[in-house]
Amino acid sequence: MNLSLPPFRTLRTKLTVLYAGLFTIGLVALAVLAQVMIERSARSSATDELATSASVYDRLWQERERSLAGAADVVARDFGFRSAVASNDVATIESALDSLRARAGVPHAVLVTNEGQVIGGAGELGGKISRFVGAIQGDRRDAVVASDYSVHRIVTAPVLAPNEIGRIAFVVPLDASEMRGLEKLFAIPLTAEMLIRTRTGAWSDGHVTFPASTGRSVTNIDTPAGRSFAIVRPLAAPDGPAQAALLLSYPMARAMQSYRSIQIGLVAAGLAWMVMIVIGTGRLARGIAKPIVALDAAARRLEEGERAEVPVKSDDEVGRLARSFNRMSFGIKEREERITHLAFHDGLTDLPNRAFFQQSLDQAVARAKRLDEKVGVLCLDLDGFKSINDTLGHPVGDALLRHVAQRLLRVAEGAMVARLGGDEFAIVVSESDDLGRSRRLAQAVLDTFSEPLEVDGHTIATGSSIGISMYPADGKEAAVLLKNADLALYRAKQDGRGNFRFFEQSLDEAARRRRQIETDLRVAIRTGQLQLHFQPIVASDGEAIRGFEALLRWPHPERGFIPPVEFIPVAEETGLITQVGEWVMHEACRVATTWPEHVRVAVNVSPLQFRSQGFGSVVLQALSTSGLAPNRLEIEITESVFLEGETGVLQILHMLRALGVRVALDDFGTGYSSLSYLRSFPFDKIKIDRSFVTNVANDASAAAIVKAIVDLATALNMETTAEGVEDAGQHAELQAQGCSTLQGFLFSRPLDAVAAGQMVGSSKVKRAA
Amino acid sequence: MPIATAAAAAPVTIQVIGPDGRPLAGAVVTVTMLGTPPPAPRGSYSVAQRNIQFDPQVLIVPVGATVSFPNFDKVRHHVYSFSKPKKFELKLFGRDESRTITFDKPGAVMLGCNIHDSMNGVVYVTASPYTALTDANGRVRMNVAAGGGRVAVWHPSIRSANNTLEQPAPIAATGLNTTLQLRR
Repeated sequence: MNLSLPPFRTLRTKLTVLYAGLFTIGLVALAVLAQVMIERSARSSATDELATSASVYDRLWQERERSLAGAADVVARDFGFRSAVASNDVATIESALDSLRARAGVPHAVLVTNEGQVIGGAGELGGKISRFVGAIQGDRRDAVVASDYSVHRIVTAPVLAPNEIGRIAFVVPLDASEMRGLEKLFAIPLTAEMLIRTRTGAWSDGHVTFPASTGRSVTNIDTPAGRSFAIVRPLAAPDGPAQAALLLSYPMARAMQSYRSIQIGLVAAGLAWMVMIVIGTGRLARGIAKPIVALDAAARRLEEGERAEVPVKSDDEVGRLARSFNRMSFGIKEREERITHLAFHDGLTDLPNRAFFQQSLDQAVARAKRLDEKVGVLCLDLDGFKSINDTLGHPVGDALLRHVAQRLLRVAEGAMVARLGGDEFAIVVSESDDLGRSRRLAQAVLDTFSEPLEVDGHTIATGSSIGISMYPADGKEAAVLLKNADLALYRAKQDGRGNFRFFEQSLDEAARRRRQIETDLRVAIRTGQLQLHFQPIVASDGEAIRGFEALLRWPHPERGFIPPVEFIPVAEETGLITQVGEWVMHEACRVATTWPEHVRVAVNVSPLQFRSQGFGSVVLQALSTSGLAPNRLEIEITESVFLEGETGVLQILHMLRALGVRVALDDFGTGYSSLSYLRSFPFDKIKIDRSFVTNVANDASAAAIVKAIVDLATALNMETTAEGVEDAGQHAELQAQGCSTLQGFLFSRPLDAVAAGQMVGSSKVKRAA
Repeated sequence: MPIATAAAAAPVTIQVIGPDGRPLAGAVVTVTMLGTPPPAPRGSYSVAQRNIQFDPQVLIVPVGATVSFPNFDKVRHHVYSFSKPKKFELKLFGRDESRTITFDKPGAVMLGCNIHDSMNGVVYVTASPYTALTDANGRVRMNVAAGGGRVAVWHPSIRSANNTLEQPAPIAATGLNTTLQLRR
């Protein structure tokens, strides 16, 4: 119902109000109808009764006339009386009238002679009686006259002697007592009253006025006693129109009185009915609303995250709704649990994930703090996992991770194992009194990985490196512990794979320093703090300058020169090496253009930079921007570029060769020194590592190696450069062995660009002392 | 029943019209001329009672006349009069009994029977020779010597003293022909 009722808070109230309201409207309509019919019935019966009463009254009126007239006639016809009248014997007449009055029970009786003489008392009318009596015409015996607001009835009897010589007249005042007497004659409680005709012709009793046109039928009037039914009976005057009328009225309230019990009964029955309806609809509505209320409450509980079910009690729509709701609730709960599980577990291994791990570590730390215990955090990853993924494919990698997870769980003996991401796992070792348990567990993990894993038909030998941090010694918070375990892991990997390391404070300092360097390096790149220094590469005679090797220098504004070995690894780790390398390439080419044309510039390229996507275009841009001839640029790479696979590297090398850029293999003799590289690509130069050069003068084996390298290079038609030449002995030996170019402090330290330019201008190396 | 006089002269015709506009029968019309002597009683007068009625109902007699009241009915009558000119009472007399009354004063003597209310009659005692009863057309015809006289009409329905209306009646030599209209 779209009535703008105040919105009901409950379905039950709504239903109750609706039904009770409808029934009440019906009831009220019935009551109104009953009232109307009762009133109509009362009116019609009152009207009937009044009309009947009026006709009864008419008869009574006539009866009274007859009785009075008869009584008067007896006297009027008495011979003696007539004789007395004829002889005007007043005393006799008066006494006869007195006895007549008493006999008839009438207040006044008079004799009016034809001559107008009045004998006897006529009461209030007095002498006027003569005129009134004389005016009564014809055979009529009866008339009502109004005089001075009083009304009198006159009933006459002629005195015949034998012609009429006078009339006996009874005078009956139609006053209040007469009216009360009249009222008593009726069966119903009527009120009788006299009306007098006013000058305007209307009827009036001093309070109520009726129009002259009031007919003989029943009308409604308002009286002091309330609304009444009324009927007006004009009373014949001696002659002319009636001067007075009788008003019979019947109060409506009295008429309704006999219906009062019916009305009370109806109201009582109606009220009882209404109470029953309200109670009944209330119960019905509750019956309908109860399961919905239960559903409502259950839905609310579900909303708040509780598990909520409602009892199914019926087979109807509500019952089906309840069943659906229960199914829905069950599904929601199940999915919620699944989502929670997924949120805290790794989908691949079903181990706890990083988030779960951190929570658990928090709890373990809190507990340890309370119980004054220690907690160990083991961070581990798989050695060479990336290459396994690359060579055997991701499905095998994933399967491997699952196997690893199983093994770790077996080994962990109840300690919590989590996968932090990729091939990174972590274990929380709580309730440990000392480092022992963590150490034993780390060792057990390493041992278990010493056996190869069978994964999808592949036998994979994998190792693991582990970093360990302890609460409270290495950190008071979960995040710090994890970070430190990670640092320890880093260190373990740096120290060679397949072992474990405990965290030490120095690791943290080193890491901090690395972070500082990273931050400062970014600033240095932006503000141009980096510089290039150039160390001449000279011909074997030690004098003619063939080229310069560009060396990166970082004069830190606060900490002085920072050696490349310190910041280059940081640059490589953070990827800044690409930016740095690009700058170096451009700067070296630019400076080289200021030199004579036979002087080359050698630029070191880190493996990361070399393998980066845009390396080729960096070289091309540096050349085209500076205008340097490609064959004057020599790129120095180390063997480690081949570690990550040969194919891509060869592509880049051939691209450089196609440009005309020279390529030198740096630090030859250290590391892997696989001769196959020399076969797969025709390097332009091999640089002999300083570790051989240092001892070449006094160590026969070193000299032999140098000799072998030089011979090899000569055979492959490659140049050689010996690095780190520091004294004349070394120079002599290298020169003897046929090394094509030399580099070292013996000839010159690295110079800044200006000094290098001056040196090349003098076209001769000024030997260090 | 006109009473003839010696000196018949001018013819007088008077018609009496009642208040209802119709000719009034049974009214007594008297013309009085000054100097005219009253008539003398002649012969016998009687008002019989027959079929419980007076017969005649109106009897005009001169002053001094004696009227007999013979009863021809099987029942007895009690004839009376309360009229001023002659009050009398003839108590219960039976069939074939007769009583006589002498009327010595002029005027209408209303007759009644104390037993039978319906019996009404009148003995009109007149002092004028010119007295007559109107016929069915309300007319009287008589011969009256010319001169200034008065005419009086008596009828029980006339509501004035003695039930009589009186007015001057100049009678010319050629007589009088007039109509008297009675008013209520």
